[in-house]
Amino acid sequence: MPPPPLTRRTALKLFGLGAAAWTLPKRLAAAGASTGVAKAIPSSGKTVPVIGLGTWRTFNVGGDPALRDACTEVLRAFFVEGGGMIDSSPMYGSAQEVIGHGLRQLGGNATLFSSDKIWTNDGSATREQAAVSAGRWGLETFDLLQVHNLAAWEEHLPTLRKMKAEGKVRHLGITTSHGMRHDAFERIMKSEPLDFIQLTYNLTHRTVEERLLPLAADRGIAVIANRPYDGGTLITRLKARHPQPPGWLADFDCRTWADVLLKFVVSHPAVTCAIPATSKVAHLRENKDAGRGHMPDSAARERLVRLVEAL
Amino acid sequence: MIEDLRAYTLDRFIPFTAETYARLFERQHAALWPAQPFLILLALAALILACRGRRLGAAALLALSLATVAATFHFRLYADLTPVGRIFGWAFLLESGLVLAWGLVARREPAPRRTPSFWIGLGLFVLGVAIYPLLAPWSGHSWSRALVFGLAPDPTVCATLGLLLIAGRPLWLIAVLPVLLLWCGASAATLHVLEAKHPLLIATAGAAALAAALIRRRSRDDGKGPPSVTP
Repeated sequence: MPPPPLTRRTALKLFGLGAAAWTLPKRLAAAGASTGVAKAIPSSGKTVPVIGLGTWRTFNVGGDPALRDACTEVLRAFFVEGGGMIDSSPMYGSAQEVIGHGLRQLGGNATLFSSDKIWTNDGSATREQAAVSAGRWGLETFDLLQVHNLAAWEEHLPTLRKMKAEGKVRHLGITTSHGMRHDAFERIMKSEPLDFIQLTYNLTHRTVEERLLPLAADRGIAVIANRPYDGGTLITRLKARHPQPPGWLADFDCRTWADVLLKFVVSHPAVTCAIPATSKVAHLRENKDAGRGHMPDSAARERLVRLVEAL
Repeated sequence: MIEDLRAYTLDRFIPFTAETYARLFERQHAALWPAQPFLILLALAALILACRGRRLGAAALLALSLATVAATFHFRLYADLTPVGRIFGWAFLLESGLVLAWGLVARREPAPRRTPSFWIGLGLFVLGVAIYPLLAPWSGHSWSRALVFGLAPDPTVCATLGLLLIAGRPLWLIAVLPVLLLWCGASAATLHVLEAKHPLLIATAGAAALAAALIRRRSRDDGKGPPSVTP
């Protein structure tokens, strides 16, 4: 069932809840590049740029030296463009090791917000898996650990809370994707103290606008949006119909469809950041550009929804 | 619940990009050159042995090729990207043993006759050994991404199916097929998700081999096939 269009009342409510989360664009002293828009994590007050970096598929390059170097260049560009959240998982093959390889090559970076997941049905293996993952990244601790796809969340979440109290992780959360298990997700959001949730949100997957995003805003939970391009298929469909974005989107600094799709996601007041994945420096820069300049207002967002629904 | 099941789209099981997958073959070629021409010669030798009814010799060469794919592709490269790589590595080693067993059991069978399944088998062999390596350059890629018998799984499976049909002994042939057909399905699904060209080629080859094996089995059951020497 397609989600209902965002009503003015809901949009205003969400905008009001999320407006405080916006911070002014900052400049990276070292690189001199604009970090773009950043938003605050409600539970800690720490800010992260609205455009992060996902690593599903793109960073799983195994031991290929050429592709590992290419990933390192993506990381270098990511930090030059302001850095922020890099998200991975033990499920992503060699992605964690490839991130670690890149971070070692670059000598680390202070702007990194490291985000990983616990992905095991063994509820007693939380600490062990977190340690293995941190070792692969070359880190002592993570900024964020999430229970991947709610696997054994009843056991993992209490352990993550203890780890947070011990200073072994700074934030904790849960994830889902592709619109899966939203009912269970909502129950956990209502009953457990969470810093973050991660879910699929893009112009064609807006079910989360109904309950999960308002609930996150209400409970002060930061939101990571995965699959902002719907795995790449959305851009292909849009480009087939309209090679360039409509002219009216220029008012919101949307030069490309990547700008449009990402700005739509991160302009939702409840969304803290999006994590598009890429293995290409040019695409990384394009993604980061979407986190700068004007964001679409609620009227523009509604127009965008209608545009995509008409495809 | 139904929505959750629908969410398990095929792409969730392919955790790498098309570029990364293609690079596996480039790296394999770079590491093993000049083994490629010798592997083609090995395939031709297996064909000659199979056509002459020397099934054990043909089976030994096929078993060696399958084991080479398991060692140099599945375990060494593919397993880095997905746990499926290791699973198929073991499956190809198992298949290597099965093919050898098939050769042992069928070694005293008479020379193969020129049945329809023989010609389908020959077609699959030509596809695996001669046409597969040309797909990369035909698709605008470099020769370094060519899929070669004995290294890449798709042409090796294709040619193996062909040779088994050429030299076939129906009952055992059915026992040897599942791993090969499983790879045909898995590879077609992978190539489909990666939006590669010719994703259905390997699936079509598998379907043709299965159909030919079943037809041959049925014709033998009907008394129209070659006489059996099985007690």
